[in-house]
Amino acid sequence: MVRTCALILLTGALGAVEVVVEWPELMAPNRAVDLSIRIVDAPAALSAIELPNADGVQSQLLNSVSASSSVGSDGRRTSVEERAFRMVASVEGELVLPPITVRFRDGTKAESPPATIRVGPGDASLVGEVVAVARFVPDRIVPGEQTELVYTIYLRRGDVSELGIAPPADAILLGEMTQRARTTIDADNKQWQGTTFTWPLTFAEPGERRVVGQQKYEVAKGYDLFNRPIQVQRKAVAIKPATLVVESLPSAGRPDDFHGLIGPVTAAATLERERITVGEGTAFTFAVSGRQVDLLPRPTLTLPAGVTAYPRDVAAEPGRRAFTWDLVPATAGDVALPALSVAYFDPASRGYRRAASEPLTLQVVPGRDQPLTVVGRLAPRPEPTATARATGPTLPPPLRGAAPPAAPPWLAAIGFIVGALVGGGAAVVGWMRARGPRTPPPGASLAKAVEAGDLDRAAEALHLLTPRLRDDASRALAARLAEAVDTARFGGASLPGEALRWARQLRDRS
Amino acid sequence: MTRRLAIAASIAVLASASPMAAAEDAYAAWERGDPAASLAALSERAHATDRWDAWLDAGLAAAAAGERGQAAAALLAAHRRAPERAEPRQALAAIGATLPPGWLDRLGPIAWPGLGWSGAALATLAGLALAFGAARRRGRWIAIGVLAALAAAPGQIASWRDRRVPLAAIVADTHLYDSAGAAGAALGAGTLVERDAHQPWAGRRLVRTPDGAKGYVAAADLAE
Repeated sequence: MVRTCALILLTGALGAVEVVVEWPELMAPNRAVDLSIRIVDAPAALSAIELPNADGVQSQLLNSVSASSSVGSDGRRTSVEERAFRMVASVEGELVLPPITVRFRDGTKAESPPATIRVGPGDASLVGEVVAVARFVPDRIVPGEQTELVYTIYLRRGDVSELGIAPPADAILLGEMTQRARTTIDADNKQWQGTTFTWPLTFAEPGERRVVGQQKYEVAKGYDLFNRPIQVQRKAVAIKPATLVVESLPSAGRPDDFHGLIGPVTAAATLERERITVGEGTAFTFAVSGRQVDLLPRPTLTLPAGVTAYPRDVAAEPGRRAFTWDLVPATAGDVALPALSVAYFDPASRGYRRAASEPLTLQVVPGRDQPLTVVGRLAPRPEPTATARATGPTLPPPLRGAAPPAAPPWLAAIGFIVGALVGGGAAVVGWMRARGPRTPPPGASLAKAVEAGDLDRAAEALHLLTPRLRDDASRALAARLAEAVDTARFGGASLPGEALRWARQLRDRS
Repeated sequence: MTRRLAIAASIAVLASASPMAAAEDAYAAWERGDPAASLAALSERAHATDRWDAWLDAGLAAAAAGERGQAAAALLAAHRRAPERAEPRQALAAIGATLPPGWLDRLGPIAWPGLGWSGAALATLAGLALAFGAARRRGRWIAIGVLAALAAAPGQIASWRDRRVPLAAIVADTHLYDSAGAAGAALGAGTLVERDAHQPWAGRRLVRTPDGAKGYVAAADLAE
């Protein structure tokens, strides 16, 4: 699992053609080890592979060849070709291996990075199935100084799916965790797979930190037809703990202008133009590079008389901070710009040091004279009327509560909502007014009027209802009722007994 | 009944007059040349009313009394409550604490109609016209509403943004501390710093000073 992750990470990080060799950390002398060369994204077919020829090393290509390709999440296709080779080292000690050169048929070539391996007896501390070791490098720092938590898991057999340790909770991580896989051997010359995880980190407070834990791993008895592990046994092994001592920054020799910078720190000063004329300006930049440089305030620039410095905005980028001034000299001559320095703590010497820039010289030459001829009469010089005096901003008088109150910040939103409600309400009211009072349908009015004996209303309702009637029978019924109503209204007779029934029939039909 | 009304009116008049009288007393001490004596009363009034002009007067009294930290904090509070007013900015500049340019400065006259009461009136008009026009399907009313909203928006948005600039005032002479807790550059009372969004750490807040340096300041030395 760990090995697969390492391969995926390595392959994903690669761009152009790359030659990758997983060198062992430790080799037994005079014992052959089979290794592989992975060629990632080869531009053409392979034509030759030149194996390292160092003293005491013999290498030979094997016939084993495999090729694969995969498509990453970004849609990019990555091809990997793998060639096996056998290597025997006969000299004990540390061997520096030259790069392996891979030549392609299109005439191009690629090289693996040079490597260093150890040849000697196996590691006697590797016993059992799994060994897990954590350590800090270095194991003694000051607050802000970088250290690395290095965690190595050696597997004789089994697989690891999760790490047994993590950086301490108060650690300040300075970068991503990196992972590297290398094989090694134990005292019986048996091969172990080692994977090393590294966290760059630091701490803000002094004190001792200890990283302990249990590394869980799984051992399978075998694999099924689909290469899935069967009869998996889950186990755990104690991790050899790591201890880090974070010492307080020494107070002895601490400069007054120390701002927490930890070395290495470099400082440099530059001039935009080293030679200018009077009246011109140039930019002077003091740049500091290192970690935590954003803690650094603008240094004090002491200049000779006659030169005015105008500070510009600070240019900050990760690991670098540049302070710039616009210098405007008033007179000609050489202007000596002093060396600027910053204090930092040097982890190597465990003391305070200064990173200083070189002193610079700005040449200011007089401007070119232009002869000026004046013709005509000179106008009288006007007498100064008032002496101009530069004044800075002054305090305004107190308002004594006389100022109008500021509108609350929520008032506009409330006003908008209230306005919308009022506007909507006004629109609804206007619409209702335009619509007028609601009148009942003429059929219902007719029935009510006949029932109440109100002949005028009955006649009016009949007048309204008749044009709305659709069939001849209804219209004939309406005419009969109208005749009866008119007879009753103008003839003085009473309505016939069927009048109410006719009116209800007409109401239902309308 | 008439007598009861008279008593109630008298109580109301007395109740409204007493803070005014107290405020007048506070200014009187300042007029006599003792602004430090006015400071407590003016600060109390600023806290009680939370009006921008009360904070301004408290800041001016602190500045006159030589309390730069307290002055910067009160003037910053006045600026937050009325970012469109020039007086707090002018007073801050007079005590050497220059505010960084805000959205209102950048927009200039474009923001003016949408500020303060006129902004509220324009927003109300926009809501009224848009709702009426949409309900009655009157294009003219909708156009008026859109125009009013467009006139109010720049000032309202700029004012809202300027109120939320994460500035804080240093109220007492202190130092910028590095991540290891060691004191670094000195920070004078009255300096305006930009607060970082991070949570307080060990009673300190991460800030950025006007010259761009980053570091920690004790939370007690900061007025936000």
